Amino acid sequence: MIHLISLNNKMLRLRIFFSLFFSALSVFLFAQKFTAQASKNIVAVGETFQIAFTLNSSGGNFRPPVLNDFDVYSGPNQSSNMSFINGSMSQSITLSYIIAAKKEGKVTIGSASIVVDGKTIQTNPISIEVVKNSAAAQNQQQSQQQHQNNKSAVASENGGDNIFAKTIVSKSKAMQGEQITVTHKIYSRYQLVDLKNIKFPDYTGFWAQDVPGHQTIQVTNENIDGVIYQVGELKRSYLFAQQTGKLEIKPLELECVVRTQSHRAPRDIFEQFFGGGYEDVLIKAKSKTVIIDISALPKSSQPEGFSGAVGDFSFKAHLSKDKVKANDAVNLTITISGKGNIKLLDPLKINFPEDFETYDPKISEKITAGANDVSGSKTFDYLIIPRHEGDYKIEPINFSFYDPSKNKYITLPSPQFNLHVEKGDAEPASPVTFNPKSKEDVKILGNDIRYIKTNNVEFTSVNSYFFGSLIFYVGMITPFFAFIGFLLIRKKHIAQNSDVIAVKSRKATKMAKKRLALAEQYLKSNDKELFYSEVFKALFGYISDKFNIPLADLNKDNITAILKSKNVSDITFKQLIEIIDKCEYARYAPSAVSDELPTIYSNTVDVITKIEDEAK
Amino acid sequence: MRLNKRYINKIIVLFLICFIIPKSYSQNNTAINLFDSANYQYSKGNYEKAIQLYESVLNTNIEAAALYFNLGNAYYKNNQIGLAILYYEKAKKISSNDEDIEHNLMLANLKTEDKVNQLPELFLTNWINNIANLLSEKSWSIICIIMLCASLVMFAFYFSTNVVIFKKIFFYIALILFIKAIVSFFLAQHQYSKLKKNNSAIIINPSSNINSSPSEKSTKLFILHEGTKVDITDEDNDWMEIKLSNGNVGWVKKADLGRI
Repeated sequence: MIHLISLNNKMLRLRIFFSLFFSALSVFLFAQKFTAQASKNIVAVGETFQIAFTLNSSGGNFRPPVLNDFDVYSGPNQSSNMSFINGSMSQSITLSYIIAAKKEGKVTIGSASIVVDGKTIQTNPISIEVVKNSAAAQNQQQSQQQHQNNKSAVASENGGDNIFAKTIVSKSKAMQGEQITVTHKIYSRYQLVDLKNIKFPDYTGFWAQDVPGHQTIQVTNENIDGVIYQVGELKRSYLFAQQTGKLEIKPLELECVVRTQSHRAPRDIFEQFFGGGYEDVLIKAKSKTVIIDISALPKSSQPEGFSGAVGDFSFKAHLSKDKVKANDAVNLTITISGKGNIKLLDPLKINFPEDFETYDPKISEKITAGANDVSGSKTFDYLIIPRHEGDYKIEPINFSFYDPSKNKYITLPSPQFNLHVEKGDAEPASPVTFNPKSKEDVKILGNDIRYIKTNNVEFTSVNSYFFGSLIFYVGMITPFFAFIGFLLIRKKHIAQNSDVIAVKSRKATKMAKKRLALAEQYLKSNDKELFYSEVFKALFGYISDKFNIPLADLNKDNITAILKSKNVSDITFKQLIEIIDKCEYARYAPSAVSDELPTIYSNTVDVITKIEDEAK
Repeated sequence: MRLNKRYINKIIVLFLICFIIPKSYSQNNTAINLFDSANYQYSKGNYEKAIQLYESVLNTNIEAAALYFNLGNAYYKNNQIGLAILYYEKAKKISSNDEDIEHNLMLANLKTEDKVNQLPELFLTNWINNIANLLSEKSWSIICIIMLCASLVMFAFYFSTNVVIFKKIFFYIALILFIKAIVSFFLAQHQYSKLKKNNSAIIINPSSNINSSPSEKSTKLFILHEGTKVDITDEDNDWMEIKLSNGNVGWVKKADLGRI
C-alpha cells in the first residue's frame, strides 16, 4: 500500500494543480462526491471553526461559497489524499477554511462548486447557528491574554456548571411494560480529552435494551440558555418497567479529563508557541437520580391469557402440514413481531389435543434497538407428534397485548388449525425405538379423593364393641358348658352300657312293651275280651317276627319245637304256654277267667323279655 | 349320638341370635335420612351444608366407617385438611382395611405442611398389625366363637367314635380349630384394644404452638400445622402433652387437637 499525502499551507493556483496531477487519472475514478462539512454547527460569535469541502476525485475550477458573514482566518487550505489498495487507486482532495462568525443568528454557508470531467458539482448548503458571545468563546478568545496575565479561569474540581452529567428520560410517567428512552449525556464547556471510570446505573426493575454504537463518543455542541456546551452522548437505552411504583434510576458517575489553561506560566517561548501552557484536569461528574412513576396496566378490560406484552405487535401462526402420518412430526410456528417489550414475551398457552406428544417450544428472537424504539420478532417453534390417526383440531390461539398509544388491549386470534392424521407406518423405522402404538399407561389427568360411600352403610352406636360384650362371653362359655354336658351324659351312657345283661333285657322289655302297647290300652279300659285277644296277637306276632315263621303256620306244637331248638328254658316255655292257654280260654269263655288283667300283662312282658334274652 | 346332635342345634340357634341382635337394633331411621341428605348435599357440592348434616348424624351417637369417611371427604373438599385427616383416621380405625380410606388419607396427608419422620415399626409388630387389620374386632370375635364351637364338636366326635383312625383325625382337627380359636381371640382383643385406646390425635388448628409446659407463658418449642398426627401422653386441664412420631414432646392446647 502506498500512502501519499501532500499538505500545503500555501494557496496554489488550483486550476494548474488539478490539471497537472489529476486529469490524467480521472479515467480510474468512479462516482464523484463533493461534500461540505462544518466542524461545529453551533458556534459563538467570534469563535473559530473549520469548514471543509471534500471531493473524492479530481476536478477543477473550484468556486468557494460566499463567506461575507464570516471572518476568514485561513484558507483555502488544501490537502489531498491518495491511496493504492490492491492495485486500485483512490484519492480525495479537501479544501478547508478556518472562519469565525461575525454576528449571531442562523447563518447559511452557501454551496461550493467544482468542475469534474466537464460537469459542475455543488455541495449542500450548511446552516450554522451563531449564538451570543459566551464565556466559553471569551475563554478561547481571551486565552492569549489570560496566558499572559497568568490568571486562569479554570473550573473548580467538581465541575459545577461548567461540566455536568445528565440522565434524560423520555417519560417520567409510564405504564408497566411501556418503552422509556433513557439517555446519559455529559455536558462540558471545556475541551473533553478523556472520560474515565464511567459507572452506568443498573436499571433495577426494568428490562433494558442498550442502543449499540457508543464505543466512540460523538461530541456535538448544544446551546443551553445561550451557553455552548460540548455534549457527549454516553449511552442510550430503552427501558421497560417490570414492576409498578416509583422506580429510581441511580445517578451516573464518571471522571472527565478536560484540557484547561495552565495556571502556571509557560516555561519558554516554544511551549507558548506550540500550544503549551495547557494542563489536563480530572473532574468528577455525577448526574441526579431520576424517578419514574410506573403505573399498572388497566386490570378491568384485561383479556384472558394476557401475559404482559406491551407495544405494537403483529402475530402469525403457521402449521407446517395439515395432513400427516401418525408418529411424524409437525411444526407449529408462532411469530410475534413488532415494537415493544418483545424480549419479555412468554410462550403462548396452546391447547393441543391431549393425545399429542408436545415438546417445549424452541424460542428464537431477533431484537434490534433502533433510533427511536426496540423492535424485532420472537419465534416459538413447537414440535408436535400425533401418535394416533384421526382428525384433530388445535383451537385458535389468542395473542393479547396492550397498546399504550391507543390505550387499550388488542387481541389477535389465529385461525383454527385442523390436522388430519393418517395411519402411521406399521413398524417404526428403527427396531430399537420404543413402539408408541403398543399399550400405553392410562394417562392420569388429575388426582382427587375417592367419592363418598353411599351404600351398605352399617351404623352402630358409638363405643359398642362386640368383643367383651355379654353376648361375646355367652358365646364363649356356652360351648364349654355344652361340651361338659355332653361328656356327663356320655359318661352315664357308658356306665349303663357296661352291664350287658341289664342292657339286653331292658331292650327286650322295651320291645315287648311296644308290642303290647295296644293291650295296655285295653287293660286301662278294662276290656277283657279285646285285651286277651290283643295279648294273644302280640305273642304270636312276636314269635312270628322273632323266628321268621309265617303267622298262619303257627300253633302250640311248632312253637314248642322252635323254642326248644332255640334253647329257651322250660320255665319260660311253660310260662308262655300258660299265657297262651289263658288267652285261648278267655276268648271262648271270658267270664271264666279269673286272673287279674295286670298280672297277665306283666307276665306277658316278662315272657317276651325272657325269650329275647334266652333265644340264640 | 342323638343327644349330641341336639346340642349342636342349640348352639347354632344361639349364634344366629348373637348375629341378629346387634344388627337389628342399630338401624336408626332418622340417622339414615340425615345421612342420605348429607350425601345429596355433598354430591351438589354444598360441602359446608354436608358437613353440618354429617355432624348431626354423629350427634345421634351412632357411627360408621362410611360416615366418618364421607365427613372427611366433605372437610377435604372444604379445604379443612386437619379435620379431613381426623375423620379419615376415625374411619380407618373402624374399617382398617378399606382401600378408599387409605387412598384419601394419603392424598390428605400430602397436603399437610409438617414433615415428621416416622420411626420405623418393628417387623413383628407390623406383621401382627397387618394380619389383625384384615378383619374388624367383631369379625375376629365371631370367628373365635365359631372356631371354638367347631373345635369342641370335633372333640365330641373324637370321644364318640370307637374307630382308631377316625379318633386320630377328629383329634387333630379339633386341636387345629382350638388353636385357631385362641389366635382369633387375641387378634380380636388386639383390634378391640386399638379401638378402645384413643391416645392418637390430629392437630386441627391451622397453626399450633407447642409449649414446653402447660402454660401460655412457657417457652414455645415448635409449631405444628393442621393434619399432623401426634400421640397423647398426658393431660392437664386445658392442655395435652403430645409426642410426635419422631420423638419430640411438648404441650398443646386441648382445643387444637382432635382425638381419633
